[in-house]
Amino acid sequence: MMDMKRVIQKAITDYCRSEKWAVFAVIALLVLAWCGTVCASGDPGHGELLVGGGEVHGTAPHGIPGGGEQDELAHGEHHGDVGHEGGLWTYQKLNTRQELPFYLLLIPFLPLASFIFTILFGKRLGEKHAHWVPIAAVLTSFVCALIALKEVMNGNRINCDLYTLISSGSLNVSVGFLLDELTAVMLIVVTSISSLVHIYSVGYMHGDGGYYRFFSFLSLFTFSMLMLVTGNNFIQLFFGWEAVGLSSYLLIGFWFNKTSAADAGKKAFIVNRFGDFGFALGVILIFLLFGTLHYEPVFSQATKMVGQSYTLLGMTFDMPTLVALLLFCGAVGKSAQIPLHVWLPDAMEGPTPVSALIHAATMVTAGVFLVARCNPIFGLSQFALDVVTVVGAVTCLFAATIALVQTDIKRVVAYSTVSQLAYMFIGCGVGAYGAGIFHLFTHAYFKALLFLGCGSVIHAMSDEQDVKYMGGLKKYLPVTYWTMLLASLSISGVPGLAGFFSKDEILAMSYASTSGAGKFAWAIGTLVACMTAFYSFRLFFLTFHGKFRGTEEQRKHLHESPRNMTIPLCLLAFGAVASGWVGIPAALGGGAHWSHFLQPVVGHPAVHLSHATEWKLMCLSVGVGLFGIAAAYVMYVLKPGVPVRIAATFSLAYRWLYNKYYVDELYFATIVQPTINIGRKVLVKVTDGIMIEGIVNGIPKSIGVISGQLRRMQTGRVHHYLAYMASGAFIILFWMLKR
Amino acid sequence: MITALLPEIIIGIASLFFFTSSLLDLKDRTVVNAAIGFSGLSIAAALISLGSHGDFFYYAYGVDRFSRFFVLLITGTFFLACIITKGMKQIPSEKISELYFFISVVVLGLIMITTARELITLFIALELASYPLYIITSYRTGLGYQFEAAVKYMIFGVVSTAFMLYGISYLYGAFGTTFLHEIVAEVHGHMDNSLAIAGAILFLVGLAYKLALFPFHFWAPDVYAGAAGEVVTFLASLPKLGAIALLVRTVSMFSGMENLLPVLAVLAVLSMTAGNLMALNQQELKRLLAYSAVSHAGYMFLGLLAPDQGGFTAMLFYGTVYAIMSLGAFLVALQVAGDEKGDIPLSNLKGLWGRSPLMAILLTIALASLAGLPPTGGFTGKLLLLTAAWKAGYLWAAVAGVLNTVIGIYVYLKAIKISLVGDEEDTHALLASPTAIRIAAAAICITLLYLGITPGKLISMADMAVNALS
Repeated sequence: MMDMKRVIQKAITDYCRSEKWAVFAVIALLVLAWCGTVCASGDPGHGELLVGGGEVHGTAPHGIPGGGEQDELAHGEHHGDVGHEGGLWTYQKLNTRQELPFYLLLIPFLPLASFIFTILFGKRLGEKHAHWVPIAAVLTSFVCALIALKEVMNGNRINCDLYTLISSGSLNVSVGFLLDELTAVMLIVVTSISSLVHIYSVGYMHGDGGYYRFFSFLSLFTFSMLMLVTGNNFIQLFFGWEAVGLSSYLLIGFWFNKTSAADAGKKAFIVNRFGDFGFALGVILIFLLFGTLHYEPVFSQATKMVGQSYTLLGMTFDMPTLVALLLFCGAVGKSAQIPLHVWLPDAMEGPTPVSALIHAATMVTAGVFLVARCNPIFGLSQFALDVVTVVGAVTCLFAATIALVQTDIKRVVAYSTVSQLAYMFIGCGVGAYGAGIFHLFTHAYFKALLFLGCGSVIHAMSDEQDVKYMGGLKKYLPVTYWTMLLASLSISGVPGLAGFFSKDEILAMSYASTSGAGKFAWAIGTLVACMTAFYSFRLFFLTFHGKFRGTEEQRKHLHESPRNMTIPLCLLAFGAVASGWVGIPAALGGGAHWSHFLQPVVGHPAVHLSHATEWKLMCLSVGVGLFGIAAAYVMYVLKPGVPVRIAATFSLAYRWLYNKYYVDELYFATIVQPTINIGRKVLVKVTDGIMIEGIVNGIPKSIGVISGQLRRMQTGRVHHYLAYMASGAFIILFWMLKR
Repeated sequence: MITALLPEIIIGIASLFFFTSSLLDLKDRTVVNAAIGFSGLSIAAALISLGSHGDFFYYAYGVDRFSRFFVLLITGTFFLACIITKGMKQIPSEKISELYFFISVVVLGLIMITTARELITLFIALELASYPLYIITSYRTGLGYQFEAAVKYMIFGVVSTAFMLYGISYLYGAFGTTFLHEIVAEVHGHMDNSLAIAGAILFLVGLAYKLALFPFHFWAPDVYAGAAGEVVTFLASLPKLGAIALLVRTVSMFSGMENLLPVLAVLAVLSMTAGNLMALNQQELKRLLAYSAVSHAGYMFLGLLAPDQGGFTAMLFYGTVYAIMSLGAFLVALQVAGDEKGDIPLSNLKGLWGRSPLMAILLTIALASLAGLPPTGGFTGKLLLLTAAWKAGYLWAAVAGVLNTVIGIYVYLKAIKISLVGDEEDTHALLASPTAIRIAAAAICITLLYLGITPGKLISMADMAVNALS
């Protein structure tokens, strides 16, 4: 408390002395006034910018298109097509409010204010105080998110435009917020993990030169992510989508002096371009089809697309399939699924808290969020859903096999993330969006915990990341050890912990799915459950058990992390254990609260599993999980010689896995190198050198020449001026009077 | 009746007060504070009179929504300019009272311009708003070329006045009356009347001079550079508003004339192009802003092309934004001005970010707004003007406007770059601006951004004002 008081005093004296208080006041006032006026007026169409002759007409907030009957009809069609139970987009029936409460605005805009403040004044505040504003901001956001959750649990929803940015023809670009069950879940995930990561970073980033920069970027990321999940239209989703990409780029390349980090940042950004290209096309197509980009009118009229098709280059695409797959392109990029998974492992070059927040818990799950949010579109195309399922299943196996042999502690966890994200896509692909989001929710906690635990280990090991040099850390890092153990048990699907419930839900749903893809995904998912347990505990045993294999120097420095790092670990461990308890399935005597909670938004697949079957499936997945743990125990604790022998026996397979199936090399040879060649030989020489430089340098040069000539008119002599002026007047007169 | 004329009365009292105080030996600070007080009062008066109507002096003087909108604008600009020029570095101490006396008279004249409905009254108002400016142009400490500037300004003023008076005589000859409402009633029968055409054109030429439209702009750079920074601040913002008001009123009467709008379109494009091109290589901030005024006069003329497509509304909006953003630019210019000379080279802006972040932010926002970059009011205004011109069928003029914006961006970004990316080891001292200036700077920033993000309110106000014309 004393510390806070001194901070505030120092801040006040600092700002009173300089003129920067004015700047801060301006920014704060701007944000508050903006929020305040819009809130108070409650007329979202008020300040719209009209691309037109200047006439002003207040636009009503996006009303609910169609009446009740129309919705019934649409609803019925859904039912027939995909066989979903429950409403898919039943906003009309629920209590949706069209006004924005203040706390909802605070959720994204506090981190934004904190970003602006910290980037401007963080340097002056120094390492001792730069983190206070971001932490306070994100904690307040968390509290507001809890309020939002309560609001939703009371059965209320909010769907409202803050203001319209551009209104041109039928294109309405607006900043608007949608608060429903799905948003509430995402808000809780983002703000809670972000808060813990902020606190953890105080310890982890201690002594770094870019301390304040780090915190301001964290705030920027939090803002972007919150805008992404709270938007009520595709443009805001896209804004958030790109903004998280930007902050991810900034944070991966945070240590930009390191070439590998700078390259990894670029790689993440560029690889995501491929996905975003499809995503942008999807958004444009949605606008062309529906004439609007707001979720509500789009989703309630989604059935309009059925039967339409689109012909390109002689190929005919079913319209719902096309839209869904284009959107899925974006999801594949952001969530690092095959074939765009290559950026995520490299992204581990960023500071570990960033890996925990962005590359495990929040940003990478945006793809899953997108699919779940657009479920009315995906639900219209069984083919698109099957693609989602198969991509998920293949990625799941692919990433898990790579994780089996990697030795970099963070890369193992990164591949594990790719594999777990794939589980979520499997869930979405079989229509069990609720299960996918459930796994997103639980995964956020145990994976963030795994990453932060790794961070703690790396911190203790003086920035050593290779498990080859670790071992026996149990006695040096007791808190890290126990929390990591819980996280590993959770991800392995040990009954009672969070990962068990969510993974089991997905496996049960895919087993029950009527499509072949679902069955295929179930088989792979069960196999991967075994691998997951194996590689998680392989990492765990290699790190914490056995003998220490590092240098003497490193051994001397071994220490448990400071309190501000271990407390977030403990809190996350609680999450990793308990976050699954909200969705205990009925077969285990639970209430399945989770799927009931999300059902109004994402529906529930029309499948019926007998409890007995569910029990069998559960036993199977728990069995393979335990088998994986046991195998890891045998191979890495009891008989450490075994893994080497296996690697020697299957050396080809081992090398393939160790080199990540050579995907990076393949991409480099087929995409990167040709692109560079075209760039060097055609673009640089012809397009740039001759065409663009000719235009770019030629026009300014000629403008400069004209400018020089024109300036000669300004001679300073009155009689010259008067002559120009009079001749100007007479020319005009002559023009007007000539017949 | 009193409420309708309240702003005129307050400003009249102010001019009497400063006339008296110029004879007394008052402290500078007292005089400056009195000026701020009077201008503040006049804003309140303008707000009170905003909705009032009334005809005075046998229809020679008519208060309506249009004139009161401009009165509010003029008094607001007056108030802001009084705060900005608070320091008075370049004006000799004994002339401060006189300066405010003359400025008050100018403001009174401008208010009368926006309100007068009779040509002779209008002419007197114009003179009232012009002559004091010629005098104060010569006020400056130190030996410069302020007298040259003042004489140039006056000669041009006189010549353009001659054009205008000549035009008025033709108009009288054509219509047989000097009352605008009588002219409006008969104007449709006189669209081909050579006398009326000549009268209207000559009248507009006089106004084009006030707005510094190419090729009637030649006085502007020399006067801006020669006069004291404080004087230029008033000079660059206040008379423009009167000219805009009168232009809109005149063109709304004669817009039916064949060829008039094409002529205006050509003038608009010429002016914005010439202004931007000549600003390209300027190294002196005031001169740069003078050429910027020339190009902005061109942009504003675009609004005149679309009388029925919201062009006037766009012009009123842009006029408001222009007053604010040019005041913002002059605020910074005055803060970085050296003491001894009237010149403010662009190099004075070096390292501004380090010396005073607030000033750097203000300069960036004001110049970005002048350049027409979102999310500032300048962007919105330009967008409105260009779309209005486009809708009215002057696509080529709108395209020329867009191309000019590109050149303009280069001009202004250059100055922004100097202020933000200045080398570290420059020797300029920290800027310790007084609190009032800093508040004004913050207010200008917020207003420009506000008008860029939510322009609805101002647009609807301008719309109501324009509707009062017909």
